[in-house]
Amino acid sequence: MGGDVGIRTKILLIFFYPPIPTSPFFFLFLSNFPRSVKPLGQAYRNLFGASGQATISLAMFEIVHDILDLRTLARGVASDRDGAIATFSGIVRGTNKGKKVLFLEYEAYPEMAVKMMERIGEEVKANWGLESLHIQHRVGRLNVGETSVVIVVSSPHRDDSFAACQYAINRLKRIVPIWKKEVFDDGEVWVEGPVETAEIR
Amino acid sequence: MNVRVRVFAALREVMDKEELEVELPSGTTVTGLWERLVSDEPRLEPYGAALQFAVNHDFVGKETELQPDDEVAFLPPVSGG
Repeated sequence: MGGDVGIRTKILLIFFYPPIPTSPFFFLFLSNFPRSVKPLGQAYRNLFGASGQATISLAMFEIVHDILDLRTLARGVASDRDGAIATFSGIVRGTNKGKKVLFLEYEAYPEMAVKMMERIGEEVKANWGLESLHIQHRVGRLNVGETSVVIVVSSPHRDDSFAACQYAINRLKRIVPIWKKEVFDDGEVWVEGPVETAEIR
Repeated sequence: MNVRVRVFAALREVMDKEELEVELPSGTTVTGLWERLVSDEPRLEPYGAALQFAVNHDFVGKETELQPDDEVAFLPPVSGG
């Protein structure tokens, strides 16, 4: 149960609860901004605007070619209403079924993948009343240890965001048209997930 | 009528292309289109058993009748995540 919670999830729960501007950890949170990019004051204004309201706006469901950034995505779902953010990161494993993996190639049907991720968002809304689900999936060549997918969802209390986050990744693996090819030193193979067409329609 | 065909993963590699236009008699089903592709490229045949199908970005059954300008996708078992 609790032993499965990733360290990043725990950290985010600390950072975002209670709501940021009143949190005793607020300055700890700010200290984690990339200072090398912009002065701290500018970073604050970019994030919250002059009014102090969050101004970050991210696409909720995306196929991307770039490196995924879980923290940026998690910031995008923060709201005063929510006391919990659950996150999931999918990472490229170095071995599969005992074989050493050199790298993976991900491929998507982008238009349909986004549409199916939107459907998962609707299902999460219907099941848990949450509208904060964000999913980004990366495509192209990914090396071992890199992040292939990030999912974040927030809720007033933690149980719902944990459940919705797990639901979203399980559903993604079944209905979102994305494929991965494992490349070994002696060959390559397209990974095939389970076929459960009855569930999809 | 013409439809646009999209193929992915192993199918894309077998066909050595991502998409193609196909002219079909009206009333052709998804299965009929697949059989046509297999007759043009017999190496596709082994992939037929596990395929899923989409028309205009939604999953459909294999007996779905195609309409002019549909985008038909043949999807091997997905493996994202």
